[in-house]
Amino acid sequence: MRLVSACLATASLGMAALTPMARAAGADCDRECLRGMITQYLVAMVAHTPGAVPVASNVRFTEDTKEMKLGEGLWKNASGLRRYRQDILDVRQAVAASQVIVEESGMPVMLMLRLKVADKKITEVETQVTRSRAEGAIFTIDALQTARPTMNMPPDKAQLNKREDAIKIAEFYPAGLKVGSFVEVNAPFAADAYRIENGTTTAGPGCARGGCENIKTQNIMKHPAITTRPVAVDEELGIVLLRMNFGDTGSYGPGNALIVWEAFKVYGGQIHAVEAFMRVMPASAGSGWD
Amino acid sequence: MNRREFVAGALAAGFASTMPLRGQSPKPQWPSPVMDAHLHLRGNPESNFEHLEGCGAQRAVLLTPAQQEERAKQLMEKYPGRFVRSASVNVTRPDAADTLTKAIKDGAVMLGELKDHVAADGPELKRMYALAAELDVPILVHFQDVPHYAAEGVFASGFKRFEAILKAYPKTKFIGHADEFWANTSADYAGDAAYPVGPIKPGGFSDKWLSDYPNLYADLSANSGNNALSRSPDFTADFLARHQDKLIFGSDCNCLDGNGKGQPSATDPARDAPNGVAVRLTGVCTARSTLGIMQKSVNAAVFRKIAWENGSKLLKIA
Repeated sequence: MRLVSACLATASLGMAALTPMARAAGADCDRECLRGMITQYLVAMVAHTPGAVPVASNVRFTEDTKEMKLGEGLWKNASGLRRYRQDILDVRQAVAASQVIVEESGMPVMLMLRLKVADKKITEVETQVTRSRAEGAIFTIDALQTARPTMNMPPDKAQLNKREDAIKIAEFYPAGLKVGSFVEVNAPFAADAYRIENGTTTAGPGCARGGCENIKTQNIMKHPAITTRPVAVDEELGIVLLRMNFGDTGSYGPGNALIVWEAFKVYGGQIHAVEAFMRVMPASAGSGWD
Repeated sequence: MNRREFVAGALAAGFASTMPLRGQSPKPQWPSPVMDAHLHLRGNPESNFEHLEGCGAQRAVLLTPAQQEERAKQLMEKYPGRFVRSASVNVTRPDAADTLTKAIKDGAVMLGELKDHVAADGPELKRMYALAAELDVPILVHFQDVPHYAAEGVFASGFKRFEAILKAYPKTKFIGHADEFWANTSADYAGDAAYPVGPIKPGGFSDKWLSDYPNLYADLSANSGNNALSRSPDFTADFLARHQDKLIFGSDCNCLDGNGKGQPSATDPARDAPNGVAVRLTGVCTARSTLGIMQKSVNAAVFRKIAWENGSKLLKIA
């Protein structure tokens, strides 16, 4: 029942958001096609039926940067889907990404999912799974009940930034991390911009500690070795997804780095929200897709 | 101002201003005068005074970045006897020692709060430990090994190795503070949470080192100190009694008025995260909360030591 209602909810959201632009750009796999790929993947995973996923013969699957066969890793003990699911649908690149809460043996885990689609078949499956505070540094999974309206509100077309500009705006974030100051790079945050990391509000309105109400002026340390890969741009919702390796800053154990999949709500030339699924991993591990 | 004038001013202020400010609950009456040894100089310095008054304290140590010492001096002049100041710098700067030396010679009473992305036993802080001994002032260090948010980083990291520092710098008076110090009052701390919860298991590093090393003190400030004192009432009473000569009250509170104004409210489901501010401090002044715990846990004589005498003695202002 939980799975069905989640799928219906996301499907209706997608129908309402569909536009001629998306259909035109996504001749092969439009928004609903991409959304459906995510749904099929998740449904098959909790049913333990990898054969039900429409994959290409050369499909490649990684979990936490390690290559596996589809059906391994989280697939083995995935037992259900919770309501939280934030899709980022990149029609132009035929990439379907999602931040999802999945149950593994009944316990909630954070799944970051990227699917690459060609000829309506999935050719690439990149995932990251965070199961605990030890793995995620922060782990407030019970706060992730439903995707936030801010992320899923389609901005006015006049407010949407062009794809290339949206990426540039989002990339102010890693640029600020690199030098240790969002002020120094003049990152274009909206006045009420917020950030949620593994379920915890760590900046913006609702943030619970001194100095974090303003994401732009919040103290951050330098991340000189940070690397960034644009993953997807949802041109209709104004969401840019970046995968960042924060580099070894000495903060997460010897040789470790935080691997952060950060979704930026971008429109009107500003960053309005930042929502991250993250996990601690060896800094030198690569992504598995380099 | 000499010591006698300072003390007289602070005490007079404490017992004269018992009427609540508009909109506040009554100013609390504590069993003794109170010195807040951990009050950061604010953007609006008047808020420092408002906080002092609102939580029922008589004086405070303004934790002051060296480049802002003029602002602290102005506040001290405006409210004689109510404030002293410390001095802090980024310890990675080449001129850090010179800057701090100048500040101490100009009247600052303590080094700190030193909160930098360096190791607790690294060369940058070792230089400061030696300097504190040389200048004969205490040094307040923020120990934090668990970031509160992804890009925060850690501060004075590697607390579990700190015993070697306590041995190596016997003339340095250390004031322990922050997440790692207080989490390690419990022997079962796994190092995975900024603010661990559940009953304290006796035998943690911090507790042991307070017993074993005469050069280690601790301030009770912030969520971290308040959290440690909130976990096991029986342990808290015993801990405060055993270390009654080495604990110093401080607030590190962010509220605006000493009565909880501006503290987060319970509106965000993610707010009560393990690394965030605890439910118990929602809308609450940290100073009032911690002083309240102290009041419930110890007798008036011990309260007085922790709230007033220890800090005053260590900082040589009483």
